[in-house]
Amino acid sequence: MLETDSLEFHYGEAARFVFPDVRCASGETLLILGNSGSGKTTLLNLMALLLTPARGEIRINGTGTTALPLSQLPGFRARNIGLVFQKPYFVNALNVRDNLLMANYFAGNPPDKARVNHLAESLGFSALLDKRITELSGGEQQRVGIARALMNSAKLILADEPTSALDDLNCGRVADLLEAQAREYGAALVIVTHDQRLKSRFPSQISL
Amino acid sequence: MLLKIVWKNIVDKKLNSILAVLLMAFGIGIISLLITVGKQLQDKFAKNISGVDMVVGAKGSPLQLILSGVYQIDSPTGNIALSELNMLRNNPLVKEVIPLSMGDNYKGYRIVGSNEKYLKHFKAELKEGRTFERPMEVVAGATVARNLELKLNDTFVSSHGFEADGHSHEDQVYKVVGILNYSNSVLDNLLVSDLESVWLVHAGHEADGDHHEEAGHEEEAAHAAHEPEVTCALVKFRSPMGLMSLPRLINQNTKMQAALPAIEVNRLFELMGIGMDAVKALAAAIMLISGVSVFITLFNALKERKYELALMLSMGGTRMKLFFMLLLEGIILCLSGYALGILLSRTGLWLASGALKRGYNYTLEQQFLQKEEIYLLFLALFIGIVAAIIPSSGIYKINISKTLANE
Repeated sequence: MLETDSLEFHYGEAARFVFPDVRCASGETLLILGNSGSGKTTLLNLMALLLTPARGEIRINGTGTTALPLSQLPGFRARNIGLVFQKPYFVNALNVRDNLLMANYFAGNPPDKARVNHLAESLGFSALLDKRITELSGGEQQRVGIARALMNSAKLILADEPTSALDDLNCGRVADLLEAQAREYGAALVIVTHDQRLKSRFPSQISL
Repeated sequence: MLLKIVWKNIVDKKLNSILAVLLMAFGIGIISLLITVGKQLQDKFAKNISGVDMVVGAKGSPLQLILSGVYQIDSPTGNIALSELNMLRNNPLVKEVIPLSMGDNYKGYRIVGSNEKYLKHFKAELKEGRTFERPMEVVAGATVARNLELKLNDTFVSSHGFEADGHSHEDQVYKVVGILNYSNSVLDNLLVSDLESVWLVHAGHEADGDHHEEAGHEEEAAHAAHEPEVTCALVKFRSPMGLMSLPRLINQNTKMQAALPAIEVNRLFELMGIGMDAVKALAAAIMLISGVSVFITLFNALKERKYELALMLSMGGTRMKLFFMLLLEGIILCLSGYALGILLSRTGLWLASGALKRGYNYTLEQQFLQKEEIYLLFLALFIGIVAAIIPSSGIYKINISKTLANE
């Protein structure tokens, strides 16, 4: 599902990153571990097509992405990649339900209310759908973030430090939910983290 | 969905939004009110003037003469002898002389003594009844008839002067013989009789020895001289030549004064215009401030919502789409301000109409959007776009990966 070949990225001359190849098939989970400054966020941004690599190729769902014109990237990303952020990035003026439906809107899909209800139920926040994002706890927000990544049947879920802001209990739950949801929808799941708690949880790992 | 996001963001920033909308509403409201009221007043003034080339009356302020003679809103300047008017009638340059005699009212509505020419001048049509043929018969204007619920054959006694609670002339009773259709002129607010009626009312009151010394009692001289007098006369010329020679002739050689409505009304509007322009400038400044407030609201929004916008971009939103989303926010604020402003202006018009009605028996009509108000709409739109375009274009500077990775 996700394949990268000899990716390189440069922040000027001083900071050059050469990344190991990443492979992740549908329904699988891959953990990318690294400390701060190891370039793991850069790798995530490359895989999320938010940055363009200096060299190398990223194939998502069989499509070579470096050949895609810049104007098609947002649409491709929206349809194929679900992003889970470390921080609770939401549109604060909207309630939980609308934040989820917004993913459909920006991907150019019709609003999938049934999916919202289904995801909210399996991630355990059905009661919170009509609340404002700011009324939710950190763990609740992260679960909504996972649901949002799954709104457009993404083939690839990229999670950036999804658990580092959570306590041990919520860390375990979020990790379980992420894996379960990715598997249910047949998506490849790549978690980029320095969170040692996840190390023992996922066997398939790459260290930077 | 986009509209929903825009709307929710506006509602989320309630205070900022309300400030911007209110400022715009006040600016638009004031300008629109000035435009509509000014326009209607000018229309009314112009309509009543049409055809009247000159007004002659007793010496005094020419503006007062015009206001009292043509518009029936000011006190008359005094009286002139009917015989002096006859001299005018014989002048070959004069087409028509309509004598007017005032002095009484019924419940605040003026009773004007004149002849049928006065009704014809306004192309008045009778809704019912007939025109006055004998003394003490009156034809009621449409507004008067409606407001006082006058019907044919109703009778009333007049009060002296122009205040409803003046001395009553109880020995002479007026009878309504006709009711006019709306002519949208000063006639709507008048009760018109023949000249003799006015003389009769006041002659009778002289016989009682009931002399008044109060100011504005312009009939006094008439009683002494026993010569029929009128308050003023509306004059129409046969040719523009009359305009050139007659006013000077009258002003220099007679005891009368000649005033030209066109000139006096222009003078009046010039005087009013200065005030109106000042208020308009103030309103424009308020609108400008509204624009600045929209600018600040959106500028802050862009800073505060940087992450939200980066998120939307990462979710597949295009920069163009988000640019329009922000632009739309500014436009919606300005347009709601516009709508509220027009509403304010209409409410103001309604209130002003009420005040004018009480003060002058003039009414203003509620109208649909004026041409100038359509221009105002574009102005509001323009302000919204200009105020929003700079903050909105900030969307093109957002670096998605850096913003979202913000460590």
